[in-house]
Amino acid sequence: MHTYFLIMRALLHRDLMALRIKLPGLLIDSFILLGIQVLNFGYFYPFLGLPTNYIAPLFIGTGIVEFLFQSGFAFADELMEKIPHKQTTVMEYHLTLPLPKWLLFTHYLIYFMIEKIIITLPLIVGGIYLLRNRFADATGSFIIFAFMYLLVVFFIGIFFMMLAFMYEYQWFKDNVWSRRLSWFFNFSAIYLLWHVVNGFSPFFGTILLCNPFTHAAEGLRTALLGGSLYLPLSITVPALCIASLICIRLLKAAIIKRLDPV
Amino acid sequence: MNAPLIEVKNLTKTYTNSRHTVHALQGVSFSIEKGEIFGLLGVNGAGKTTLSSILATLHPATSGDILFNGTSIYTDLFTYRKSLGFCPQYQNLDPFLTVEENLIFAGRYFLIPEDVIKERVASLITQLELTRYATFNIDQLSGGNKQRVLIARALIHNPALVLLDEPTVGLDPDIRKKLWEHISHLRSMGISVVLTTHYLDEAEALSDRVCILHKGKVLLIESVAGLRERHGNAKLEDVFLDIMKEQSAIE
Repeated sequence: MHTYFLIMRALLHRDLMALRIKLPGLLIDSFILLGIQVLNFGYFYPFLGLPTNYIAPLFIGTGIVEFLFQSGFAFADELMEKIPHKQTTVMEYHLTLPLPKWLLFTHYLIYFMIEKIIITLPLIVGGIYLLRNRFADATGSFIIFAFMYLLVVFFIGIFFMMLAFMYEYQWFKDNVWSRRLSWFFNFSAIYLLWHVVNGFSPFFGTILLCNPFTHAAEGLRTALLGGSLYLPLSITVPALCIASLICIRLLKAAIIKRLDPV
Repeated sequence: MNAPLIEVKNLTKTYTNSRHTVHALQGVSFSIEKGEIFGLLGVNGAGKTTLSSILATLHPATSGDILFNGTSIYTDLFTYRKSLGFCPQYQNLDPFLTVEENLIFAGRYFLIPEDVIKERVASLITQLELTRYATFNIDQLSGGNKQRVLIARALIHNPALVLLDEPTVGLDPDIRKKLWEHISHLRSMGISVVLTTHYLDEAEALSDRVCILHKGKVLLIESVAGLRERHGNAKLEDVFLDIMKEQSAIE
């Protein structure tokens, strides 16, 4: 097993070398988004009438979870270009390495997590600092937030890996947003607060509860902001764990169907 | 007598979907000796790439077995893969890395010590005439040079078996001839080669024995010299065309 981890380490080392090249561009994207979100939440939304107590939870939803969601989509797109189809790809080379398949695919996931943690760091730290007045009442814990954040990044990585292996490239490009992702994105608590939706319509509240992205956004809110306005961690953490396990199972089946690996 | 390096035993591969069942390989058996260049020939759809991908452990066989030094590769996949170098039909080098870095990382993936990697990379770059391009990114290379890097990458861990899937497809004649020299050199290094090719002149120039596949079955396995002799010293290309014609007549 030790040798397998050494091979995986070499693969990750290669990925981090590639990340070094991409990093300036990714950080520029992250800082631009940070600027836009701070302007929106610090000035425009309150000016348009958004209650100030909604700013921190909505920043967590649209600033952090939405960014991760978009990054997950980009990750799936990048991964799909590596999946051998009519032309061979670097993944085909990786598949012939003396490494079990599950570790090879785990390495793709770990890389996703590393990259996303690095590029969302300015957004999280900078955003919370610049909007600190709106986070003044937060009673959560940074340690619990960090744990929850890792779980959310893990889930989003698995979810988009699953989509990448499940669908053909062209179908993914043309249809995945409208036919699959829009449901996950819009019927979640990314843009909404679950208790508000549930108060308005328990039916929609229940629908939102079936969406793991609701648990991702609400879990991060609870972890960082505390209080009883958001779904408790005793619901969001198991929900995300179960959703991740389902995605892992579907991912495994999709990999077998798509790659027919040894 | 030494056991063959590779024994392919009654290999079958069937692809099934809701509409079709395709028997890509049907009871394919052969063996490959150490230091032998074994040519896999056949028209499109004969099963060459399927066989090559099963030997590369990209896909499993539906039934049958492959023995490596007498042991099934599926019981010890790690050892087999460590002894295998694979050159796919289309280049799949790492576009983010230079030629040298591609080779260094390939060495690391096979857990070669760093000092040995340095020596191997330097030696392969010289052997395959890539010195000028060592610091070039992959996208800056011509097709022929990418193919050389692929061969170098397949050799970095000193494999016992190299699979070359159409290694010279789409290359200029002079570059093809150069690559032939490199492939021939593998035999002198004691490396066994499975050469999948459409170019019969290539198979004739390089192979010790050829295996002609037809509709997923082995039509014949014979030495190039023996095959030509049986057909009045005709070129392998003419021999192949005759065999295919005979086969069509039988069918």
